[in-house]
Amino acid sequence: MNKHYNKTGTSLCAVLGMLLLTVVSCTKETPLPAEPTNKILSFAVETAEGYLYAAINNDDNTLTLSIPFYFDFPVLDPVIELSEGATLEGENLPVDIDEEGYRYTVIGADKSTRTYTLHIDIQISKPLWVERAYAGSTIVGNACDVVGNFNTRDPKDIRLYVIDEENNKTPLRILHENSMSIKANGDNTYRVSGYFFPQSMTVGENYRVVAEFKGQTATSETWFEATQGQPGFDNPTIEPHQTKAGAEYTAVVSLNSLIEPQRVFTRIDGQEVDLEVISWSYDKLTIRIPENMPLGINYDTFVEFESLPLKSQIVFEVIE
Amino acid sequence: MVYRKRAFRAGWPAVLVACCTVAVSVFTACTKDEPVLPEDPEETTHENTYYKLQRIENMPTGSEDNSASLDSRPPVFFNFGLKETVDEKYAKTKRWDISFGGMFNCYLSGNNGQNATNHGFMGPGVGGIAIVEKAFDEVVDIPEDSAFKTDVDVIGSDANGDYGDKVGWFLYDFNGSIVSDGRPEKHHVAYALSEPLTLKSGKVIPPRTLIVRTATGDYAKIKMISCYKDLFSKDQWFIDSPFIYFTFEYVLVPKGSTRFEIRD
Repeated sequence: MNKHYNKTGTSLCAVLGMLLLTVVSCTKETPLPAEPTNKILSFAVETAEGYLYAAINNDDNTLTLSIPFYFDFPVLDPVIELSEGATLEGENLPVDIDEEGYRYTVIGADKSTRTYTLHIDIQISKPLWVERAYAGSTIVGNACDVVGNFNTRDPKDIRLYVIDEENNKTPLRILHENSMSIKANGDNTYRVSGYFFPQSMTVGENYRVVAEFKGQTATSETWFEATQGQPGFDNPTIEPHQTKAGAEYTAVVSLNSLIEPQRVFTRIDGQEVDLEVISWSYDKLTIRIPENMPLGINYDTFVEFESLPLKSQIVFEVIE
Repeated sequence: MVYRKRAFRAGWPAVLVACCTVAVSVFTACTKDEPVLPEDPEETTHENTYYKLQRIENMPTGSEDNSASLDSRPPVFFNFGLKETVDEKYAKTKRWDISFGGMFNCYLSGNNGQNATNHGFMGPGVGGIAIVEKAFDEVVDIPEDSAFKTDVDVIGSDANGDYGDKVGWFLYDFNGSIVSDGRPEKHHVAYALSEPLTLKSGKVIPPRTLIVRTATGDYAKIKMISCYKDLFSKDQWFIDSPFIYFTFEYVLVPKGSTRFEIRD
């Protein structure tokens, strides 16, 4: 009995002793270095599925937020908790999802500062890829449809470029946002329409297509050679652009790209009259309207090119 | 001894539980609390807006071009607390409360992250929109949550006019013959239904008031007054009146309210 009592008593003493040690170790007041007052304590983005928290590293002052691609957020609107008394330098505005290295500077209560760098990690199940949708038109300034594994309903989410052999990157053009579209093909690929090749591409040079989407970048495997097409001018059919006799008139190239005009002419009183070319570039042509140009809408002005068999028409209305 | 032994035996579990409880308490006390997120600063700025009659005049939607191509223009997003429109790229944030989308930007939605059709899908918005056939001043009680629709562009043209199939906030008169005598200048007029509207047939359409649960759970009642720039009564609205510029009044009350009220 006594032996048993001593054994259990010893055990109880050991437990109580350990407990006492724990309490003591927790309550021991060892002076610690002062906690920095300029820290981000929490960085979170609220979603329909709750908060996504960033990993905060106070050694290299980075914030790393991993976000699944299917949220399809164009921006992140974070909720940031700071050390007591600290403030954020500047306004806490939403950050573009493609922004890399966005910086937050925290000003502590003691006026010390710390700058965090944000890294956004968009988690996509498969690497991004892109290719031109068809091997047909490679005409400078013409339409450029692409296919890729874009998971979005908004074609404006995708940023498209051409890149030449020297890695010069030029964005594709968007003429009308309303005419842009994205179509799911049923095999997890998407066809994007409504983008046009830049008019500044060089005929005869080789290019590839580059896509940026949700923080990922892909370059097409296939190269293509830029070719020249018939330039088309912006000639509205309902309300033609207006000008005056004797004035300079600039015609904007809306289809393909302009090359050096060989001749610009019109017809006045049944006779062909050459027009002065004041300047030209790949996207516009400035001419002088003759002093004796009759009033009204003119459909008889054309541009000839040495290397192209067809003429390009310019339509304008002379109002005085 | 037996007693003590028995007493010891009987007390052992209790002592163990007590020790564990204390240890857990101590351990818990030593553990850093999970960070508690502060209130969204955007939510707190609404204090200045609550319980007041607010008026927005001639809110633009981007163009005076009255062509049919306006049906595919981007939506406009508005924040009641800040009394301003916000950029379209903030669609999946809580920075907007009502959107003006669809044809001529006349179809309205709340900001809701749970509805796949909503502009705010996957975002944190908890909003919705409802409409009642009552004058603005008569709308006092906030409806049940189930009354708020969360679909995109869900409230627009009224069934008493053209292109409407349910209760809407405006009546569209394609030929000018529903409300007026059909003369060309009254074609294609959109009549905001903030006041009773008497049709050519003699039927009187009661006024409509919109009620929005905002992205953060506040409530707003809205009186849509006009779609036309600087023209605030129906006798001023014609086919060539400059649109679309929304003029509306609203009262915002905080989350949890059951009634709309205006305080001095």
